[in-house]
Amino acid sequence: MADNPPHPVRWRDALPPAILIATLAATPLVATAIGDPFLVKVATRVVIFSIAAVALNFVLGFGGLVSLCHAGLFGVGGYVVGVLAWHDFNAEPVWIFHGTSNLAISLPLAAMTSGLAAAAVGAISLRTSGPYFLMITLAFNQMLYYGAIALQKYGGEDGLQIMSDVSLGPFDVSNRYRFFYLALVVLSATLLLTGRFVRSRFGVALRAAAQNETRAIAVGIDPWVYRLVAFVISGALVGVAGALLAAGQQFVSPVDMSWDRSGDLVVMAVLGGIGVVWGPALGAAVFIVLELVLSSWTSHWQLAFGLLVVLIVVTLRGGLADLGRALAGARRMEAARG
Amino acid sequence: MLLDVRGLEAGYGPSKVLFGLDLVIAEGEVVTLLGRNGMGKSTTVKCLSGLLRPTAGEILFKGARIDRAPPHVIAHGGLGLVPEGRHIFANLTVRENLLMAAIRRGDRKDPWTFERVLDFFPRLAERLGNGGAQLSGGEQQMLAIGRALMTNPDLLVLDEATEGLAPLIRQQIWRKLEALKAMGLAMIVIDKELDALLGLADRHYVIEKGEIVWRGDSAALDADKTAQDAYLGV
Repeated sequence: MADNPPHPVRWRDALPPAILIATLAATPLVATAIGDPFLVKVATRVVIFSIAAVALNFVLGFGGLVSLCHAGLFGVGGYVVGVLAWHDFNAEPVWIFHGTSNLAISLPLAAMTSGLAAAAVGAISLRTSGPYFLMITLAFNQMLYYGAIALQKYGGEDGLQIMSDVSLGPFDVSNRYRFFYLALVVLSATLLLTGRFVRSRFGVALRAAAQNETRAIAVGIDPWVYRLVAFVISGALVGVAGALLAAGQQFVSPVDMSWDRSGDLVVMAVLGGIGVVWGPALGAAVFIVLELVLSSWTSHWQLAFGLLVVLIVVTLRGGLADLGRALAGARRMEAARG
Repeated sequence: MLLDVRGLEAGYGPSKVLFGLDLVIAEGEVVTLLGRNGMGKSTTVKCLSGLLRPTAGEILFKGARIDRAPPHVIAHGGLGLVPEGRHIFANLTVRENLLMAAIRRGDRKDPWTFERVLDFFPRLAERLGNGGAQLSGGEQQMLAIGRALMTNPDLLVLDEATEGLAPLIRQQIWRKLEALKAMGLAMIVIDKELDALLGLADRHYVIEKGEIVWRGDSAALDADKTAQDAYLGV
């Protein structure tokens, strides 16, 4: 019994992410119908950053850890795909191994490398808490960022172009539509996996330690171990997102590893709602669409964007994921008055 | 001896609270720590559970020293704590509060499981999906005891388990503690309800200014009105 998920899945909890995935899945059909393939490019970006934001939220929303090094880990995943593809294109081995543009190999390697980097970062950072944790993760992010700039062989500050077509085993996924659906499958798997973790005893212990560390320790939980495991899982997943971005745009650059990109991921998570697994995916979608729309209107789009974020976070404490509940509450009040 | 505390000294920074405290508990025994507020009862509990590191003395639990062990290791070793103020996790459901604390120990013939805790506290079974913050004070206390039982303790430490509860609920809690005693579970109980403690406990320790100033069984304490007046303010 103790191994059973402490919180069984309810249909009403599974419905919002299912709607989100179904809506995203319909995007290529809409793009085809209206003859605007750019829509698929935007949707792919939404899906990839959704994976990253959901991964970050595993430690942010459920572990209470505000990490500013997730952009660095995101970039590590991207560089694994980029470097392996570069060696594949140039027929130059990586030590004794051949390079590859096959995501069936490079995606798991990206997850492993980012996970290992997260283990190293987490093992040190998690000895601290609060603002110290924030600053140490920020420092690690900058180390990874400048580490990528130092990779002169792989483009340095200019980034690395992926010249070969990416595949997934025998399937060519360089086609924009196929790649979108690959990313969507990864997002669905990420939501399922993180949801399962959050409901498991592991996830409950993680949430308990976030609420009150001393209380959790007193019932036999070692918060450091739980947080480290969560940080590694989160790092591996965000590395997969970075790998997908690199493969999708056939380019990887240190720009996506800058600390303000880590801040963007935190904003996406908070905007969507850190209390539910799927909230950050909604936040990422709104963030990217707003960024696109507002920046086409004004070069000062960040001012308007900031105001909107403040408005949403202040009015909806649970982020956009709370919108449904807020609307239902307003309807109930209306009915009571009427 | 299940627990053997020798010359325990502890405090908070420059403020010393315990001055060479000694106490022993045998397996299956129920003892109380009595004394007025601020005399060192909760500090003793913090030292036993690893939440406060003693400055001197030693704590032996099942023959091994635990005074330098971290709290989660002590909990895994079989010392369960029901802290003062209950301290349940308000953002977790009753089910989650219980299952989170589950510790499996191979040496148990009849271990505390999720189902067994619910059988012991049927009220919790009715509230499984409720958040900790949605429970009444009595239900929260049942949950705090149930959560400690889920760690399968050899020794249960209860710090002010009936504080702030209605008389009827207090009676229910005392009956549950009597049932636990009948099952052979050793307990250290800290409370202010002397009549109930005299009925429940085998022996009593009275703490005054960080030292044990009186020890004896229930009959001796009941008869010693001088000690009651001097140290317990009753």
